[in-house]
Amino acid sequence: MRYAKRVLLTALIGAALLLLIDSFASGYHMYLIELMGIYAILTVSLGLTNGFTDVFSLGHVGFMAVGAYTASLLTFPLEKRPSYFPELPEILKGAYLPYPAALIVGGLLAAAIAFVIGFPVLRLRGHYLAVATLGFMAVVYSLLLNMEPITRGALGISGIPEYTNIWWIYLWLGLTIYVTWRIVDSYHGRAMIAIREDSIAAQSLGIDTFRYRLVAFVIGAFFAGVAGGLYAHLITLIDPRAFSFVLTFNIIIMLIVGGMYTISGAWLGAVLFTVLMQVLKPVEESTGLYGLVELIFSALLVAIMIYKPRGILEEELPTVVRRWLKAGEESKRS
Amino acid sequence: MTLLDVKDLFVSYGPLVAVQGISFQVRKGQVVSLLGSNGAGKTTTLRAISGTISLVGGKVTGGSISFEGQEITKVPPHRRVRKGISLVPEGRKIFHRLTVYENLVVGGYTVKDFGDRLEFVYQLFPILKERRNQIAGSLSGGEQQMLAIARGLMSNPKLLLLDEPSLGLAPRVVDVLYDAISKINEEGTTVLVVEQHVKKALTHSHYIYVIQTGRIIASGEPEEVLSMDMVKAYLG
Amino acid sequence: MVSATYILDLFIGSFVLWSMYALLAIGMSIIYGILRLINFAHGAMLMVGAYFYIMFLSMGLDPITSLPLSMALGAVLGVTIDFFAYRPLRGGPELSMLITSLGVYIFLENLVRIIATPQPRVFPLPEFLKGVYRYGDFSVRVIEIFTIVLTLVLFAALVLFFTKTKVGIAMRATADDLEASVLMGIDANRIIMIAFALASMVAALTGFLWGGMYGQVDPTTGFMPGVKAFIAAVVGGIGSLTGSVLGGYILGYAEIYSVGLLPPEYSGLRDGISFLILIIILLIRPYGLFGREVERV
Ligand SMILES: Nc1ncnc2c1ncn2[C@@H]1O[C@H](COP(=O)(O)OP(=O)(O)OP(=O)(O)O)[C@@H](O)[C@H]1O
Ligand SMILES: [Mg+2]
Repeated sequence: MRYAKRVLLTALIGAALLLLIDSFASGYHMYLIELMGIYAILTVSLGLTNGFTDVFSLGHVGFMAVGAYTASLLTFPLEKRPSYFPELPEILKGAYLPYPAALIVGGLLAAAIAFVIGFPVLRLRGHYLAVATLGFMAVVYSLLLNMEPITRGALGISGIPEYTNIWWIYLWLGLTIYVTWRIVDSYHGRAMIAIREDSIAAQSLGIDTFRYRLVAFVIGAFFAGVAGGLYAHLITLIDPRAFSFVLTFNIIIMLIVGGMYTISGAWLGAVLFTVLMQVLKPVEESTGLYGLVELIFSALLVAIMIYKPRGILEEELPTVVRRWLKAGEESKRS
Repeated sequence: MTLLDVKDLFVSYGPLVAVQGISFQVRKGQVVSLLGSNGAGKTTTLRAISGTISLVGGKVTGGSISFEGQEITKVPPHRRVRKGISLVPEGRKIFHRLTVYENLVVGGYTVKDFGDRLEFVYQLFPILKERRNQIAGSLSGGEQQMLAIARGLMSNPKLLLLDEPSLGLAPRVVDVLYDAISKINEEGTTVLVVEQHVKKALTHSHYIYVIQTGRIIASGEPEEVLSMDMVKAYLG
Repeated sequence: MVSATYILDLFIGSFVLWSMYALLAIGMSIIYGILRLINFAHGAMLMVGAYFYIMFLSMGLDPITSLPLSMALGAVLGVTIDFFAYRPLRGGPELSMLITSLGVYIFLENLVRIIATPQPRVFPLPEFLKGVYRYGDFSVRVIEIFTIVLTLVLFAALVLFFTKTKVGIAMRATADDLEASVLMGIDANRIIMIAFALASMVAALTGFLWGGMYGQVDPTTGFMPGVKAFIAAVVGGIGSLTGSVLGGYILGYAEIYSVGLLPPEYSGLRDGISFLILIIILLIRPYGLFGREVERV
């Protein structure tokens, strides 16, 4: 009951905020806020694996790409398909789904793939897992480039209907956060944290580490897939380069800087990244020093790893805020 | 003359205080034993002396360790070897993937008279000479312990620290090891040995300290210590 | 049509790729062996090395001087990076160093992008490496032979270094057991410095060979070779020199032959194929072909 009230309240406040933004924000700012929401879905869902279990995956963008291409193919106007995808396999010629369903199917396909590759890959540890998931990402990238009948290779797919808006994005972000929060705050979640803090202790407690890793990995992949679908229907144009190592790196930077062990840290990272990007991009352009933004971000990542390895938010935001409020009251009283 | 002087030493692993203010001396030319049961803090004490305590997450939190009258608590571990302290660690920790000879090369990393040292340890443990090209990981337990001691002697130490050299070895092998230890001592090397094997320690050392849960509870010449009732009860 | 010359071409091609992957993989293995760091940034050292060479040339130096200088500068850079980025993390979780090395990779790539512009640069090959030998249909470039021979020589030199010199043996000892090596009076930081210097120097040399083979470099040049070497090292069993060399060969071979012998529409899959090999090998042998289960928990 307590949960339900809090969730409802948060949702209401969120909706009011969105309404405000929707009616006042200009086109460009709107776009930024939308992009930020998609990044936040990606970081929160990546945090589910990388933060809450000790699985460090570099393959998240691969799942995003799967979702993006799947959803785009499913919503692509039927009448335009023969000329746009002349070699499309028979079954895809007539496969159409409305946008919300297409997003979900994209997410499900990503989750299914995560389930299949998770079986072998999640048995690897530490470095090896990171390398193998990077490998997955590269395989996806390579397939996107080469499965021309479906993906149009390097040309990419353009003319994807622009269905995504701020409401869809933040609805999904809310859902991602809610699901992640329920998982983390559940008995299972505590098990996952136990795994993260001490794999061996968790094993001796009789926790099936593999199962929880797999659950986290699959759910994380689902939301990454959905984020891909949202992204495709926002930008309306996707090609393999959009899902390359650069994006992988950016998501990791957001997650680590924000704090990969908390949900608030994950989305805070996405917010900071978007804001900082807007501040730095003009500097880069006016000075002509292309690469400056990445240079600063990478230096930031290294600095965070050295000085604040758990990121900016080591505790959930509500906990931090509550502490501030309490401290404020106490200082008033004294 | 006192070679090693440990005063009021405290060592912690995070919140756990493993050594709680122990003091003892090792006189030059002697063999001194540190006795105590499992978890008493013997290994921790030796790590503090060799300086490797920081590598296993521990820290000296109080007291002092002086070697030849010089305070060494702040000296990094690899420099203590050059000063003349050599630790043969618990569990031997030989370089498993290297040959016997290569292990000895690494042992002699800091010395100039490598040839002489090699000659010396080969004489002490002729079996090592026979096995010099064998991969160390494939030696028997006793041979590995000999290699560990030989490797520790390569740096020509003034003080040799031995952590349970007899652990898990057959009595015959233990005899060989202790004969070698006596020989090393006769050649002028001071030895501080940690043992649970009380009998060997008694017959081979000049002085004994008994340590329990991080504190010294008894000390003296071997016969003296053995006659104490509490020690009998403790060591069994 | 698959002719004998064509097969020979593929053979040479796979050996050339092997050389470069193996050289990088060896560097990664050396660093991994001692630090347990999969140095993602190692590929960037190849790219930076190639740029250093171009820089020295443009300062008016001749190739024979520029190459050793670029290798030396590469070594200095490698040691500097270790000092600022990795040393503060020693003793921490292994993964933090891996993440940091991702950061270092991006840092280097973009630093070069800013200093030298994102545009590809022509890589000027010295005169004596420019020739081509022809035997009927079959032709082979001097730089290809040079690359293969140099790799073999370098590999022999490294084997000698690691088995016959005191420092080389000490490095292997440190990789085997860091704590024990400290007990022998070895300064672990110094050994790590040497490892970075050596690995970076070899990477810079690989940069020269890579630039020479393909005729140009740009700031992203290091990425794929770095990732491939990383795979080669893991496939071979990271930390093992022989493993790295073998892993490099498996990868070079698979890549060239899959492109050369498969129908053309699959040729774009070559990068994907490397990763498939990686994943399959990791599943069969989680520590690589020559790796041993030495992982710390
Ligand atoms: N690396 C470590 N981290 C945390 N605690 C440790 C560590 N090493 C030892 N301890 C603890 O410190 C205490 C003393 O351990 P120490 O190894 O010094 O005992 P010991 O006398 O050598 O025992 P044994 O005869 O079993 O070797 C023990 O309670 C042990 O659990
Ligand atoms: Mg002990």
